[in-house]
Amino acid sequence: MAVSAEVLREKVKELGEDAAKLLYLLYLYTGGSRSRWIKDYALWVLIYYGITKGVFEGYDYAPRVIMWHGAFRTANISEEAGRDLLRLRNMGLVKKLRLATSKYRYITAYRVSEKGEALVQGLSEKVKRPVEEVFKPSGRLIEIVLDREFKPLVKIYGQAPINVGFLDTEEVPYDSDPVFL
Amino acid sequence: MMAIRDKLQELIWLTRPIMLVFEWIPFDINSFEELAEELEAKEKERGVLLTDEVDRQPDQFIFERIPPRALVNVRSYEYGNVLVLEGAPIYEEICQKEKMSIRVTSYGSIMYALRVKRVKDCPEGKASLDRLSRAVLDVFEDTSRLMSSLISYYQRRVLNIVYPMLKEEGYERRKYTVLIAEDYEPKFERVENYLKDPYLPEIRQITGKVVKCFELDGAKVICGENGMLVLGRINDIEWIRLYSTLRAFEMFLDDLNVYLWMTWDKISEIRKSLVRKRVKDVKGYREELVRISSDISLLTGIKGLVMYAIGKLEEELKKISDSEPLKTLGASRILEGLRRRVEALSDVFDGIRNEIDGVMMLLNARVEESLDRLNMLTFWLSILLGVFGVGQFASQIFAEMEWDPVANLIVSLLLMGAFVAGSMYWYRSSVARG
Repeated sequence: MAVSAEVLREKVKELGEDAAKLLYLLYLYTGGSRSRWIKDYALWVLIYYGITKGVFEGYDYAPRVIMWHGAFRTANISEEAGRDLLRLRNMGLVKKLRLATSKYRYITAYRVSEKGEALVQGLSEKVKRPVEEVFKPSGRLIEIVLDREFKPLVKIYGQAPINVGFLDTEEVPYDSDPVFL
Repeated sequence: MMAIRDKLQELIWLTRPIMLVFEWIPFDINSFEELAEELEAKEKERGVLLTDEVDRQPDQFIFERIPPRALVNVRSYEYGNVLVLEGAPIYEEICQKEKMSIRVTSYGSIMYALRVKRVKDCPEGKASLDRLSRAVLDVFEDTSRLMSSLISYYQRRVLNIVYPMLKEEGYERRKYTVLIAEDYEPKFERVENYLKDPYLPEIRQITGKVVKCFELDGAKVICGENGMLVLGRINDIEWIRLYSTLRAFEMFLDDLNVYLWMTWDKISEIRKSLVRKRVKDVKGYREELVRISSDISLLTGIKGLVMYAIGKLEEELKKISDSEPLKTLGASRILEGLRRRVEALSDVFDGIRNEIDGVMMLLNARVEESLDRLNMLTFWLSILLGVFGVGQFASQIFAEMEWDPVANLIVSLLLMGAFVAGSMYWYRSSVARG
């Protein structure tokens, strides 16, 4: 395992710092237990929050219409994070679970694999610290809760939940002429 | 709406791109002609202000506070086939600079077309894909506003069922987007180079998951699940229009399917509650089932419109069946798949209707059980009250007759017992009679 972890660490180096941070984020929420999974919607909110807080320096996000708790809504999704998540899965560092729900058909969930956990042990402080500062302030992991309108709120221990704007699209005004094709 | 909260890494830039947005809305030739009539298409009227508000007081001769939401001009009209409009959304009574053409066909294919001249914070005439992906959402919102004012109340209701809360900010329906730019940066030799890091995530912001890419007369074409990117000059737009219409139509069917399965799940939840005899909110369940039943009846009606659209799409595909891009993209295979999906939908509609009937019967059974329990409770309560009444009446009479109190008590209790026995006998014989 130690040898393969060394090899994997090399591979993550190739992926870049953001992928390692994403892996560590998944480890924080799902590591140490084979039964704990993080739902995709919560992961997307965490990634978005991480981007706005400067954790994932190479990630962007863009608005997209997605199914969100029973209705189609606009949400800020990071394609770069999606790409890295796929890479981490292809490397066997992250597992994906698809499950039916009682209300919204299917959701997916993720957790760090045993291989991923082994790899995380060798991650540098440079990767871990910014993730912990944002997602584990005062030693407790932040939580994602939903308000009455299903807007995701970030809940930091001891503080009131805040709307981070995951579902709020940004205004980019444009000028246009009609085109008749 | 708010300002961008992230420092964007803008890699791909387009010069004065054409943006096409496609969607499918339930239309048939009658609703199409009705729309043409309302817009006085034959007269080519100069411009009509439109709103999606409903006049709730038809008996009043003046209405107030109905804000217009769109300005529309008819550009061309072909009976029973195509209506081309020029439109702009209106916000707070100000006509916006975002002007676009709207091509409406009799079978519900809608194409909005505009040339993006300027995007905020971008050099004049240029826009990055990062910014354009945000402008696309703005166009989605504008086009929904425009179309909401054009279509009938029935069509709006159908859309509101499949896409709940559509009028609220932040809720939107899915549409297929195409960006075409003759001039762009960076220019790579091969289209595959755009599918490598770091360009792919930026492209996916427009296209979604990439399903095909190819070169066409020197232009690079990248097709995805949500949109298409065309880099370079192309001579023919017909294949783009047909393929994008297919994709938009597919999106509607996908979303309709999601609605149907979510509805099925909702009904199943109600059934589970009823089976577990959790019937606290009978009124709520009944209202929910009636609402679902009404929605399903309305949606069942669009099956004919969907089949009409498929027929028209098949006709259009035949006209340009030799189109190489359409062959590459497997357009006829997609259309065949759509036809089969629509046929399968009938079974789902029937299944949901049967499920609603079953749950309604279960609900009625639970209501009857509750009524039986209520009857029983009322019966025992009436006996209890009757017994006390008889006892009180008897003891009062015997006291007036100056009976011995002990004898009074014993006879009153005997009379109470006789009342209970009589009631029980009557109840049993009623149950035996059914």
